Amino acid sequence: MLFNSITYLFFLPLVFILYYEIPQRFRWILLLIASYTFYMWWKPEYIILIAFSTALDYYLAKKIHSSEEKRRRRLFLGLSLLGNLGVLIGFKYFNFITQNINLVGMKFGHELDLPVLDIILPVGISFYTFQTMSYTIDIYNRKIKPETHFGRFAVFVSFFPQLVAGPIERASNLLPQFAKDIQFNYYQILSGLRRVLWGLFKKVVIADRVAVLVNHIYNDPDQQNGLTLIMATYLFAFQIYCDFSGYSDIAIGSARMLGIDLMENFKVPYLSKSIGEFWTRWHISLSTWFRDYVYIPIGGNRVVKWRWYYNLMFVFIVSGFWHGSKWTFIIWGALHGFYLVMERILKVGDKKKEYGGIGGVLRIFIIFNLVVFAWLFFRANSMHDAVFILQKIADVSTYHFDITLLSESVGGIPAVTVPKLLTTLGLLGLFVGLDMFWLNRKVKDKFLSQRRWLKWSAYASVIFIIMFLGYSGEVEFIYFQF
Amino acid sequence: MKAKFYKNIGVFVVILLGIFFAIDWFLAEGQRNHYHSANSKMRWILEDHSIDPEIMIFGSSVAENGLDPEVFEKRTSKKTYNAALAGRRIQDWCPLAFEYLDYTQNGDLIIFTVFPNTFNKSETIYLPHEYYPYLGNKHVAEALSDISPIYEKIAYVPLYRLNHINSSYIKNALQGWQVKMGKHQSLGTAITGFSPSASLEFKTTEDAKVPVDTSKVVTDIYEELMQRAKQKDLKVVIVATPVYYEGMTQFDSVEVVYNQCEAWAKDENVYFFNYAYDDELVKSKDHFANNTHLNRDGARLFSIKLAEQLKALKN
Repeated sequence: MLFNSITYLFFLPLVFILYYEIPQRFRWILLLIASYTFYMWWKPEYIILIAFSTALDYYLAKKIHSSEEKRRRRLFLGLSLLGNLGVLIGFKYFNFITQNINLVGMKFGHELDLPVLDIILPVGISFYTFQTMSYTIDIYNRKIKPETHFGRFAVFVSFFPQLVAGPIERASNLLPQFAKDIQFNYYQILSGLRRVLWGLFKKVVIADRVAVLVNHIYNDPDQQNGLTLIMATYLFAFQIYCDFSGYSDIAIGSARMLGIDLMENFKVPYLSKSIGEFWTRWHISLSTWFRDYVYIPIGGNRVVKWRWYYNLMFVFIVSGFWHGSKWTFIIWGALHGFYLVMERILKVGDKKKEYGGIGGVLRIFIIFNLVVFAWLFFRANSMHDAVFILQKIADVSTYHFDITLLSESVGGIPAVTVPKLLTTLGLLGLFVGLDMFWLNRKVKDKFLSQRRWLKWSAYASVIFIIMFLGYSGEVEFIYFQF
Repeated sequence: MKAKFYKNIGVFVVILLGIFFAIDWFLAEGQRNHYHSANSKMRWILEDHSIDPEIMIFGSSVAENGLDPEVFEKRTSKKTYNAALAGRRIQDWCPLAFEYLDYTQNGDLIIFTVFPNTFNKSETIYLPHEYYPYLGNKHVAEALSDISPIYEKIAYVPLYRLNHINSSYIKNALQGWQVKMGKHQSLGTAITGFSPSASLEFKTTEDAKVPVDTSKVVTDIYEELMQRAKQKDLKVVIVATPVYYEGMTQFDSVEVVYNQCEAWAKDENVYFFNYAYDDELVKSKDHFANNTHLNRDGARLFSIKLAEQLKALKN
């Protein structure tokens, strides 16, 4: 089920009303039914994978906890990782691996013909497997105790607001909340509703409108010139931010309506003054996951310099690969790893140092452009396309702007016209303004202290914009494919 | 706390829904009254049921600007109306035909036009907002639903069409309200339904190949229309419209379409008149506005020839 669908418009209020009407001890049943329904709306049979992951980790976590012998604990942890990674690799990376082995084989004159499976990637697989893996690792490290209530654990694995695209939660934060007797809290619920609304605005009004342009240009780069390709790359930076942070907003807002706090996933990342800072503001739940479960275990920065740089590169390449089984994602990850290593070598990314004034603005500008450059690889349909786009961008002589380059016909009507383009850019400007505005705590508090009719008028205005200017149709979130 | 929350949210939602329904009604009512030919045809057939001729013509632009009802009336002495809609394919003009077949009392003969890629399936609708005022009509709702899930939601989910409006819909609505208030009145070509090509000059179109397909979804609609027409004792005539002979090479394996029509003529007891290769019409550029559309002169000649064939049928 998509957050931006009519079904969810009825689903969430229904769950919400029932949730506060039933006693706390039965709520896990409602949440489990709701979560499984939410997932099965897309492809019912893939619920088996979630159920498998749930049962496996529930059982092995108990075994890890009850075993005193390190070897046995390691064995159970290994089984848990094997089970989760096995599912992940089988469904997500198998074809990539066999295709590349076949290609290498062909280079050396061997027809290996390893099979390529005809399977659909289960939505959210990278998210819930990482969440359950963190649970067993934390149990192994004796950071938490295993959950004794199987039902609540099943809700932890499948909690619908964050099931398919995060935030990737930690058991220490989420599990205890399912056991708490959550009371109806008017202000918390309103705050959740506000968050859902803002997320919808980002997704439907900004991301999906911008996507029309970006998809048109990136899906046929041959027809474009360097200028339109640059424009599309910058627009994609906003598309992916609004798409993914919009999803996180709806997830956090939906959970908050049920009295459950999820971790923040974005903190205005494009205002970062270093790449290091960017990764503390972008997809925070994933970057902290990699920090805690990959980077630190392999030594982090408490090693010799070359090894430290290697660790950084390794983590970011793996992070790129996590996004998808394509070389473009690996290059994207590697680029970020390279940026970070360079920051460390040149000592220009000191987090403790304050960068204000012109210097600060200049830093934001540089970091934003470095991030946008990496997005080019992330968005390109293939490595061949990425290289082709770079070549086109390098060819300044072809630069010119022509609206016909952006228009494609849908049912005889151009998808992008000058008024549509201007509306999209105007809305993007409005979003950037509001996003910055909301950052200021004083402004936020001032808004919240306004008279009720004024606040509700503002909410109504956002709903009007979503209704009338939001992109028609229910477009999947980008991070569903990861 | 809970009661206060539900009360506040309830009031907010009711006010918001009230405003949305008001806007929705305002736009649909305006569109319904817009004077553009297609809108008038839709309203007269789908709602007013005021068009009930003896000969009714259905199809797309090749029929709308190729068949002149006045010529038919003169030659056959039968009241004729051209209900064809430019830019539309059978998947979205069929609601008008089904509705007409539901209410007709005077109908004697119904014409369905076909052109080379007429049996290709479509998943989009040209100017979908023209249907928005008529979503309550079961034929419209069913037809739109069959085209794509988005149109299905537009047809059945209240207010969903508000998320699919465009500037043309708003403009039409405002102009429609002017008509409603008596400030603008022009029925134009809607009176006979015939909308001849504005220019006599031949306009060369792109010579890219056009794939020709026979989608079962499309042929099923034709067959259902034929059955319904026969149940109403109407003669069914399928007419392949003329195509400029050099332009015909644009279409790949076009014969499948005409073979299908011939098969219907044989099996379904309907008439099939194929003008796609009529030398008198298709060999001269002077009869065409472009490869597939006749100009005013071509339309006159085509209408005369078809009317004569229909006259022969009558006798």
